[in-house]
Amino acid sequence: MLVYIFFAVLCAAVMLPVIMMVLLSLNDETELASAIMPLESGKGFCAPDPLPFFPTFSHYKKLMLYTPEFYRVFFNSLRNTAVILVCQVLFAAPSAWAFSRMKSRHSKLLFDMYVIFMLMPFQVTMLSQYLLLDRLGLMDTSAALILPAVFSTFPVFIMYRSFSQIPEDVLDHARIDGAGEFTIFLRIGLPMGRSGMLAAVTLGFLDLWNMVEQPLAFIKDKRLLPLSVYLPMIDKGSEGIVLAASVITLIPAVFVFIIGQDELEAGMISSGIKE
Amino acid sequence: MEKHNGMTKSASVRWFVGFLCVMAMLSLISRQLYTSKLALVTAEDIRHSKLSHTVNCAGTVGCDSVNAVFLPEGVLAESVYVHQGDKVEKDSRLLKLDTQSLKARYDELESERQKSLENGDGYGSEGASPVFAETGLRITDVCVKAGDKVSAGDELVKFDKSHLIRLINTLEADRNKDIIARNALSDKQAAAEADEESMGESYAGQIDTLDVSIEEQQSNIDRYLVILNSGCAIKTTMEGTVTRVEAKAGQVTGESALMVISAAPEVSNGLLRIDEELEKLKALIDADGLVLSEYSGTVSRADISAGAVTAEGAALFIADVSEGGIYFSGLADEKSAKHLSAGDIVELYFRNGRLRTASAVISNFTLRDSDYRFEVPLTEETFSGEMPAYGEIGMMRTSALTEGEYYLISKEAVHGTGAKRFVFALEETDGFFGREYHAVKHDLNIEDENDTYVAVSSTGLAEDTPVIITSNRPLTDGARVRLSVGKVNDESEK
Amino acid sequence: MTDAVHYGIKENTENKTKTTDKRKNKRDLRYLPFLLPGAVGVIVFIIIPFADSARRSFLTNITLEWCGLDNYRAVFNNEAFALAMKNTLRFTAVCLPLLTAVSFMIAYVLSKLIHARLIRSVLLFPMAIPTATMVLIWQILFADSGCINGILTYLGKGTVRFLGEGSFWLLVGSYIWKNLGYTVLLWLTGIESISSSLCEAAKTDGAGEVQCLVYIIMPSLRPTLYTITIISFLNSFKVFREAYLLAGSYPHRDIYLMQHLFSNWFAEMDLGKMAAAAVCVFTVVFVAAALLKKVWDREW
Repeated sequence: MLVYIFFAVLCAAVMLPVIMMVLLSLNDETELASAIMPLESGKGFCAPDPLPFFPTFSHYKKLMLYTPEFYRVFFNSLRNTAVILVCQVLFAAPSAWAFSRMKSRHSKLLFDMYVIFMLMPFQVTMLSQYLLLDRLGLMDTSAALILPAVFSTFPVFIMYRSFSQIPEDVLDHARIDGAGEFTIFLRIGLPMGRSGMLAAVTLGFLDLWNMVEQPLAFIKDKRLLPLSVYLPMIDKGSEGIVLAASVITLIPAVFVFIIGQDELEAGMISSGIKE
Repeated sequence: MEKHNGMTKSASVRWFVGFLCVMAMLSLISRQLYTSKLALVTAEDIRHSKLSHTVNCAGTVGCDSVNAVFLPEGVLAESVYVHQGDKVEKDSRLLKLDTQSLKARYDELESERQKSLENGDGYGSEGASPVFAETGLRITDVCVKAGDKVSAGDELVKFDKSHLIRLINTLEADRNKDIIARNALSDKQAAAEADEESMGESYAGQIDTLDVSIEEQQSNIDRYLVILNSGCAIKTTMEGTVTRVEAKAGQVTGESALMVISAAPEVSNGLLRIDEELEKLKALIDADGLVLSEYSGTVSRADISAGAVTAEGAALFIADVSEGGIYFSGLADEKSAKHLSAGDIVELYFRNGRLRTASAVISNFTLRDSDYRFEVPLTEETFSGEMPAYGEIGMMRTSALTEGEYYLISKEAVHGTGAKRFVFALEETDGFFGREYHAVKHDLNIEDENDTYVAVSSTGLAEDTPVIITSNRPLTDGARVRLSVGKVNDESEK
Repeated sequence: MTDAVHYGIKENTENKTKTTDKRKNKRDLRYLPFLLPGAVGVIVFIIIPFADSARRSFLTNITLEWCGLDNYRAVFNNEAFALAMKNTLRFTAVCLPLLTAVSFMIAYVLSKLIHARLIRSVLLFPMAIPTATMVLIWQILFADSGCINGILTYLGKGTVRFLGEGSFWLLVGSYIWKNLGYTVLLWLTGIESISSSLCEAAKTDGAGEVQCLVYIIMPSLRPTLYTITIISFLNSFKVFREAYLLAGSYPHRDIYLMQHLFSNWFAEMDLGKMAAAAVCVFTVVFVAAALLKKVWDREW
């Protein structure tokens, strides 16, 4: 019983920031200002009321109805993310499949290289990417964000795990039946590795929806900014808008999370077995 | 969170898709709502050039050498042969006056002349000698009247002869009485002297008195006798003009002068005028009423028309263009005078713009008694065709450029009043939808202005920044605006 | 017995590895077309550019002349670099073990519970939250006049400058908050995949709970540990986002991470130094990963 209480507290603590954010976004101007005022004035402490006395959707209204640029950045983010994810699946799935099936030392070596680069923080490859993009003339375009991310090796890693679970025998059977490699991949590999792919997509989405470093470095044109960078740019005086925008930004991530949660977990099961 | 776990995957997917659709719709709605709040503006570039000031001054057409044609007053004009603007030569026909009315006027004037002479208004009184005669004479005839010229020996006044004879006889009888009295007294005196008594002195006195009186009377009688003998008339001894006649037939002379004669008579103005008129009328009558021009030039004004009676003043004006010509001149106020100077090319407008020229040049621009006077000569080149009439009022218009170059801002873009005026500049930034425009308020330091522009020497704006001319909503500093397509210089905006 | 199962599988794979290299290579060739598109992309967009910047690390910044190890010397002498590296290493060294340990403990306890699923989802949730979303909330909570400090003052403890000296721990906390769910999940699935019969069998042999834990469960979780380590290590770099959004390009000393350094150098276009530093970091990570793999492989 104690354990449950402990976990209840833990869960509450974990969810607290989010709940606080949603509730704060429903505060009207005055309550919000008084809650935030200590931040700026340095006097007293922020002590927002748990529930707003005068809940209002005015921030949402203002954001959703009177700020068209919000939609611009929202769909920028969405478009970037969707394109990247699709391309990632297109490129990474076959690669992961190949890696999971290939046993030679060369492939292992290449795969290890993939893993190494996956581990690098963006900053390490930032410079090289910049040079390349500059040479290709792609700076300050959406392609600058999309292209490098498409070839990220992270989804390969994730998908590899689930692909490698598929026993070779099944494939051999299919080969005996006369199926070509590609057909095997499509008919057997993909369905069986579905969980890994979805896991990769989900994790990828959560990461890309958050993309901060690349836009900061490569994008100057305001028209191409993604949502994740737009949020901090909102003027200081409109915290209500910031909160409302934050909540809206959260929603797709939550959706994706819900949709992909099972696969995420399933994808982890495969990690229990070494290749 | 339990709710989330309870949802099936497909439901989540559907909700997600629904969410995205809502977002898509809202993106359109929000755009519409947002832009509907934005002011729609038009903008214009600031020009950099000199400011032009338009000066409007009124003036009249005049002529330095204008010859007036005077006609006698009160005469009917039968026909007029010239109009304003006609060129006339010397001796060309101007108009014809009705001879009958001429003659009538002539007679009228003559009788007026007579009257004034008789009234004694014809002459001044300087240098005049009055003519006296003995008293008691009865005038039968006054031989002269005012205005007549007389020379020595002319008879002036005739007297009644029989009346004079009777007078002389009376006077002689009185004298004789006195003589007798005197004689008696003198006898008495002689006797007294013999007597040696004091009474003799008084007699001497009496005798003297009587003597004197007898002498006086004798001289009177002599005088009258002279008159009698010289035809019972007064004859003038001097040459001159009779300026005034007081005597009348039937009167008896008294102490006052009979008339006044002046050797160099001063003719009064009235008489002179009448004489002039009479002369003119005479000439006109002789010419059968035809008036010829004495000058050559252009008829600048004709105040007479057929069938009208002449009035006082000049009937026609002939401008002699060969000498100096016609001018348009007037006065300019101080404000306008700043922008005018000799040599400026101006436009002239007459008759509400129906008659105009654009090629006139100011020849003179002078300051006299704090009035600025300008003169613009009007020549044939100035007005091809019709010329404005003498005395016509017109407008002079010119635009003068300032010395220096300023930044000119259309007044439509300027708000505020007096010293605190400002414009809204259109500033571009790169925004989330490409180019964004904002209205930014800028105060102005106005140096000069005319009707359409204000001039500043520095705008405080970046090069090529346009200013907002019109807006369909009130503008606030920093507000985002939409630029209407009508902006002239915005070629790159697509 | 557990081992046997595992060994059995391993044997299989070992058998496979015993097949000749030549055969393997031949077999592998049929997978080449699958690999090629992705590989080409990776090579073009990641490997070659990196090689190029590695080359640049030996050239001067603008004129591109060979300058040998000048850039490297500059980097190593650079105070900011030293600070950044120190901070980053410190952060990683603190976070990883902490996260691993805490999450394992929670996972272990959770594995005993029945209604674990809900808790799992809740714990997982923070991972989904975009960083930018939370910035304002972090500020409200952790600023000098934030909520937490308010509570602390009320309790008489005085304020902690979370955004100042304490920012390091703030980042650690944020990192754990985000990644706890994921790691717990990984542990859980690992634990659950262990057949319960193993433990029961051990218990009948007289083993206690703790022994069960130490000798049966933990060893079988090595693969899980491997994955967790890799992913946690990966995520530890992502904490830069929080740091940047909260504190900007030049944060407090303690959280001046390597990424800050790179960002600033990038902004100044100091390409030579960046290239050199990139190569350095790459080397470090490479070494670390290689070591990890070695340790991993040796165990097996």
